Amino acid sequence: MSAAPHATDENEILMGIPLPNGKLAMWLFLVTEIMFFTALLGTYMILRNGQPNPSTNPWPTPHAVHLQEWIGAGNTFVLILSSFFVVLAHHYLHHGDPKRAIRYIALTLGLGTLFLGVKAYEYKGKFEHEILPGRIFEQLDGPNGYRYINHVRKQLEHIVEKDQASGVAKEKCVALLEDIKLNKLSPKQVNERVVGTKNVKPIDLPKGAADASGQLLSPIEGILEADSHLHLAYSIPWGNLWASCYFAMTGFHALHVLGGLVVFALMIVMYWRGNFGAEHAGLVENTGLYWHFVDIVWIFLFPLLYLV
Amino acid sequence: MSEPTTQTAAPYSAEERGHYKLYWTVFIALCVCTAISFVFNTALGQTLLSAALISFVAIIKAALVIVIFMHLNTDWKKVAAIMVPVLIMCVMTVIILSIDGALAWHQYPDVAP
Repeated sequence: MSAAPHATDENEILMGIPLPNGKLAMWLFLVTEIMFFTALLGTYMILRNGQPNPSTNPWPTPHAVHLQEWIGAGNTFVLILSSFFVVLAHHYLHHGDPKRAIRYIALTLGLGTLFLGVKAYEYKGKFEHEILPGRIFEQLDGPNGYRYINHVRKQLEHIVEKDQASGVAKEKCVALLEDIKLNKLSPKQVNERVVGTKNVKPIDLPKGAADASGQLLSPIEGILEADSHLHLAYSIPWGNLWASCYFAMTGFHALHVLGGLVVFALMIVMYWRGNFGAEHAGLVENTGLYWHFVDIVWIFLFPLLYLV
Repeated sequence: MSEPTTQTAAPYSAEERGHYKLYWTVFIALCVCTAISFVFNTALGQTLLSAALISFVAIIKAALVIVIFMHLNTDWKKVAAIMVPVLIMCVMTVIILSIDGALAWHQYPDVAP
């Protein structure tokens, strides 16, 4: 029997998804990451909306926990721009222009580093104001209230000793410290003197501060209204839960950003060694997929934490 | 240290130029959407309406990134089998848990402090 030339089998069954292995692997990984961040963000949404008494004991507002919307918006723009640059890098590399591509990779690396720098600045602010899980005073009734008074007393002594306040704020600090030393005030009254009556949540209002309809009687100006930069603790209902969620979500997101930056740095090293060309378009595309996912997570994180 | 690989880039095709314009368009749209979210928050404060509008804008932004930047406009059919079950699970997890974790509380009257 003579060997017939091999003919193409038109009925050949093609196995697997028609994607390069690397791309398929990246999508599978991203799917697991979607589940991971769904757990974090979903938990936050449920906790955020699940308070039993939102009118008297509301979830912290962004300003109450020292979140500034414009910083979050700026970080969002930084990540969107970095995503755009990754797309351009792949576009140029696919076309066969690695020099231009690596420039955009370097810009992406710079923007990612900027994002982490801004995040570090925000974390520094949280640490300085002790807005940390387990360190926030809430529930001023009971022994916790008197721990709060002692803490504020130490902070006031530090402010007065280091002369950190001036003008009206200084007078109020000195007056509050004197009243605390004389045991004249309850924890809720101390809290009221720190933040001001109109900033106190209903659950933390001292007795007699409001009438039956909730109208404030004789509201007083707080020390932090006179000088918002002073480091004085105040009650933040649900603050510890908020802080736990905040650091879990943004911390894991920042770790993911860092991971992406490591890969971008490796690409730059590859180019510097002369080993980066159009054949690496797949690598750039897969890393870009990961980076876009990180961007999407922040697109949802920003409104959840800073706006809503 | 060896010299970086230099490759002469061929002229861009019409399709490539089209992609380039599309990327720019999406980038500008993302910036505009971010600004819109910020404006909604400033104008409406923290209300249910602003939350709904801002969430809607966030979904639009995510869709733009996923479809254009992540090339799902061309790859959707290839990855749909992986993505669809996960997306269903994500949405349903939050909805199902929200019933007992959040919505049930709204049936109870506020308790005075």
